[in-house]
Amino acid sequence: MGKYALGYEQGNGSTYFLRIKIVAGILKIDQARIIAELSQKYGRDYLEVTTRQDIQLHWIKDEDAPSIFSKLEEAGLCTDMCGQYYPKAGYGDVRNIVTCPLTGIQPHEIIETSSIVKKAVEMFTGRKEYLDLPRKFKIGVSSCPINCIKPEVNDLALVAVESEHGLGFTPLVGGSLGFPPSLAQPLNVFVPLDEVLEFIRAVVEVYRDHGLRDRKATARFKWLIREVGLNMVKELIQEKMSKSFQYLDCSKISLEWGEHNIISQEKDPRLYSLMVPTFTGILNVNQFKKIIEIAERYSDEIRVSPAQKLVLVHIPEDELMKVKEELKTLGLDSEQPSIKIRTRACPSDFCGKSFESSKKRATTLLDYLINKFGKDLEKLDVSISISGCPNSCSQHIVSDIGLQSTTISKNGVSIPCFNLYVRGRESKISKLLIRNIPSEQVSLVIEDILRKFMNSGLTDFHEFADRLLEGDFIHEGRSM
Amino acid sequence: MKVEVCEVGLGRYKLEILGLPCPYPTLYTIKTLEEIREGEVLEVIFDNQPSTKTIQEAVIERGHEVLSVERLNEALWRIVIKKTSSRK
Ligand code: SF4
Repeated sequence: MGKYALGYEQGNGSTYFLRIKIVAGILKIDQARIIAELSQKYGRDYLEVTTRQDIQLHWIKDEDAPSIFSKLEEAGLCTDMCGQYYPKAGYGDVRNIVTCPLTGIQPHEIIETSSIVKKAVEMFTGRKEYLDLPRKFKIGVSSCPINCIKPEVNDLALVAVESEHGLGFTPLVGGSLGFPPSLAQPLNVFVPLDEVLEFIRAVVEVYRDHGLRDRKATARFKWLIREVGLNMVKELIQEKMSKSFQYLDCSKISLEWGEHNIISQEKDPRLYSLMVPTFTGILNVNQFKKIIEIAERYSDEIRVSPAQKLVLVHIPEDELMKVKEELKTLGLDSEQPSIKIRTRACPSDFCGKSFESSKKRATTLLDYLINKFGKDLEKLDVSISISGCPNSCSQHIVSDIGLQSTTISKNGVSIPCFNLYVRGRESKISKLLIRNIPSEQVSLVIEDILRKFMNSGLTDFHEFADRLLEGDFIHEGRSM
Repeated sequence: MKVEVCEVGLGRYKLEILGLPCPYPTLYTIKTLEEIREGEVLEVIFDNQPSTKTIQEAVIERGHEVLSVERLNEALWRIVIKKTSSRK
């Protein structure tokens, strides 16, 4: 108890989901086989990769939970505690700690983070003293300057730095994308490598002991920071650790987010990592089993990325073509426009909080765009994310183009619509561009935006988004 | 976290299950019903909201009778069940 739970949901005929944490994004082949077996036996052959490096199954029955949990225990896997349905603040847990999916094998990383993440997970998992936080707590540990984990979307992010103080991390605190979205802010301090676990523990304990518990809506860490201020939070952490931090000016550190290439050369230059382009994270068990077979030819693990993808590692250069072909026969063609690879969607069809299936909408939209733009689509490096509600599980609120499902009522009938957000240069949080676009017009509107971007002569979508937000472009009589 | 079963009257039991998410409230309810006799009553007190639905579904599916469902306060519910079947 305290290590396993099911999440409650009310969509697609599923009552419970199982969110399996893939610690440090590293899934051992034996563990992958057990997950495949569970999907086949209990989860209708379906799997989802999430934006927090979990693998999620649906249609789980409560009476099967004891057998499933003991299988997971045998495999050394655990789940989220999914306590989000308590009406009050409380029973929050530390969610899967996200980190770079290529840590330890990529050539340009500053710090190998998997051992830190594993120890941090051990520190909190199943421990009574960390199972009643005011709400859920999200941690991200970034290992290289690509920052693929989007550090600022976490309650606590640790960004690897090589500074005048040595090798270590600089922390950011208070990020959360649920309404109202806020980005984690730098504490402008340096945390040495050998103190990082103690630091993570101290921050979680500060949240546990001082977080606001009056109302669930204001219980996330960001609200404590708003209430008492960043400096006070810093002092509370120092007090917990009985030490003072060294100053580090974060304005000199790049916090830009990027994404790993489909193919990345590893530290050992003879070997490569290949991203499996699982569109919006969806896989069927036959694809998954085949991926396991391919992966074990080269390694004893599969990596799981926060971009809702799997990554095959240690592939020799002369085998890459063969693996790509094998994936293609599984319907997982890695030669796809980057806009498709970068599309994310939440599991709204299961969660029951939305009229729309975000994942199906993503399929419709991308099929439409591929059909309309053909080869030209490959020129566009733009991310699209679709969420079913303001909770932003697909992170639509920090995407280049974000869609959030909503409804309007017309003559007593609910009409499914989308709010469309775009991300400009000034903030990583996107801004609302158009409200209440009827669902069937969404593809047209996005086509229009992308065409105008292509014709604008601009290369940076964020710059173009600023112009859209200023009303420089017109769409269907609307200022856009 | 609390899971506690006690006898609160003749043929009447109380299961308190607090601080545990799905599926534990439902699983403990089923397990406790297996341990009491037909005709006896089990009162389940819990704070995990989805269990208001899932406990009832599991209990009815197994042929027992739900006598009442009550919200005791903002974050506490009580479901009273009569064991009317020996089905597991
Ligand atoms: S964004 Fe909303 S609809 Fe989508 S999975 Fe999250 S809570 Fe559900």
